[in-house]
Amino acid sequence: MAYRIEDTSSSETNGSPDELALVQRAQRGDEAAFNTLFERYEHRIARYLKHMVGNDGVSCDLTQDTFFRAWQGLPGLRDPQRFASWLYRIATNLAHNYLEQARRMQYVPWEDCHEDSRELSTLGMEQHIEERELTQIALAHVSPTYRACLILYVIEGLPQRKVAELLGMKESCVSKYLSRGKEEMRQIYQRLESEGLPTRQRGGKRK
Amino acid sequence: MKQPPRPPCPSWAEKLALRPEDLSPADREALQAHLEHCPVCAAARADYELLDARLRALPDPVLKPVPRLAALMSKFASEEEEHSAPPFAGRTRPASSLYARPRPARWSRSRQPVWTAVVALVAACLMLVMGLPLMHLLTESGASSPGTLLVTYRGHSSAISSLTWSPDGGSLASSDLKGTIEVWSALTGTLRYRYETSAGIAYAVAWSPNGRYLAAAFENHTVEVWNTETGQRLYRFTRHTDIVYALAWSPDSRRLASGGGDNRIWVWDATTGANAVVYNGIFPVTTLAWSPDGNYLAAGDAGDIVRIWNVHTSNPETPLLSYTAHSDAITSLSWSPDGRYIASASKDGTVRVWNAKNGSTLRVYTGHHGSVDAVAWSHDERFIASAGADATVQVWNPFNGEVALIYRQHSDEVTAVAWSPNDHYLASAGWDHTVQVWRAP
Repeated sequence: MAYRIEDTSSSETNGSPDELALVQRAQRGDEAAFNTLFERYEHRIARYLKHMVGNDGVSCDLTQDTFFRAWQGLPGLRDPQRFASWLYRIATNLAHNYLEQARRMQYVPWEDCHEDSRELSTLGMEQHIEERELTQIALAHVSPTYRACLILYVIEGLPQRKVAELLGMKESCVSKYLSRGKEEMRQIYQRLESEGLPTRQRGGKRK
Repeated sequence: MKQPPRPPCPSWAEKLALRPEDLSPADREALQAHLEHCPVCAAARADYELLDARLRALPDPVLKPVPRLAALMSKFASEEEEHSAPPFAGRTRPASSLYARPRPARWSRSRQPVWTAVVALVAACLMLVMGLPLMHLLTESGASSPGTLLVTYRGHSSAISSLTWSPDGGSLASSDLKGTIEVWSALTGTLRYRYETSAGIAYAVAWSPNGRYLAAAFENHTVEVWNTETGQRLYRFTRHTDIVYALAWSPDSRRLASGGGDNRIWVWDATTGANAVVYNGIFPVTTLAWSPDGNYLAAGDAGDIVRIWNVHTSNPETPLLSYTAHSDAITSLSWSPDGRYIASASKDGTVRVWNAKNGSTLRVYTGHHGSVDAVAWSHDERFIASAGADATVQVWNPFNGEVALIYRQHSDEVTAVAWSPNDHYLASAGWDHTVQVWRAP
């Protein structure tokens, strides 16, 4: 299977001389080196966060926040070889924080904060097939910890060992979370399919 | 997945969730044997495979979060300079900070004001976004998110050369390489009028600011003007001696400027052709833009020069100002709404924002790869949208260089971009034969 995120234990990325040098230069305050790292990882982190939070705009903000925090925290990174794992952990934590906040938020009804986009929105929505909506919604309902594993293992196609490394957990945990996540998603998908798409509520149990 | 699914056998659940290649040969064999005798696990595996395929088919993010990071980092660096002792020199974090500083926790506390401000900023953004119900965003595909595609118009059968909004925002007109002009509803994407000509490629189309006329420039050296209410052709301008590439209406909708391969710009009464004045250049005129107050006309050419004339007082032979900072052909021009600045796009891959009075450069935007083919300044002055050969439309702030959005839904070069009159939407079009209307930042 072709990995959408390179296996970062390979010579291409994490721990490679090239990347190690970049990280070390960035640690010394070299903005150009950090920009190179940013370009290398930005799309992967954005994609990961998009599937974690289910929203493009939010994932953009979180992606920037991830790199901003990385820039701030780089001097404290003890093992520069583990830059990718460290970056994913920052992104994961931010996604979890966001989801927790979202869970606590009382949602404002769409109609109350609707602007004037309604007149133009009809055709765009028609293009989206129900399957994709169901899948997105079901994924959004899966517990965040399981969801992170699903995204990296299923969507990004990473090996179990790499998922464990990026999320800072044991390999055995990854297979456990994957099985629970897949089953949870299956149950949710089935429920959504029989009950129809929800309109206001989101949630699912959280680990 | 019609029946409520039963969970797989607990002892096999983890193996079922993994890809076969991630299992040992012994596990694979044992699992296969189990599946042959356990319909529950077999059903679970089939469902997992289906869901895996659907997950992998989910779209990538449309938005790209490039821009604000540099600004945040820059702000962070400047805040560091203000708050740290000894002060840092330059924008980069000094090498000594790696070791001189305590561990991240203490380091963070020492930057409490910055940190608080950033957290507050991020929190404010999140609060804004979360005000919309996330589930509704998902089910309605984020209809109000910037960059959300709202309407795709597929009526053209060839590359689109130009597009223009009607002043009331309800319609869009687009021209293509087959010489067809199509007017369609921006709300529904349904065709309202189609002007078919035998004049060759339609290089430019422009709606008059009062909404009553539509003008188009053609390969056969002519410009045609229609009444948009009746569809009747009002006038055909034939003084050009080569292809007409560019059009611009005066803000009062009375005059039309047209420029072409004969190196000339004609300014003429739009419905009669009277009072025609000619401005001569030395290169084909590729783009024109009338200043918002109607006093100045800017023209870009296939050389690399932008010229500005005062249409009331300038000698047609001697422009008021020539801007020569580009290194390749000018493709598009757009005035700032207050008339102080001009944004010029060029095949040299840049957009330059410069002072229209003295030609001093305010900003050079280099975010595109390859030629930049179109540029449009929003009516509220906050953003410039630029598009080009890299198939993107990039929306950025001309005053601080921050990129608000990069739109990537086109599959080929984007040759035209236009803001809706209320700045809520952008329309873009190009070589993929589509016009796309999407939510602006």
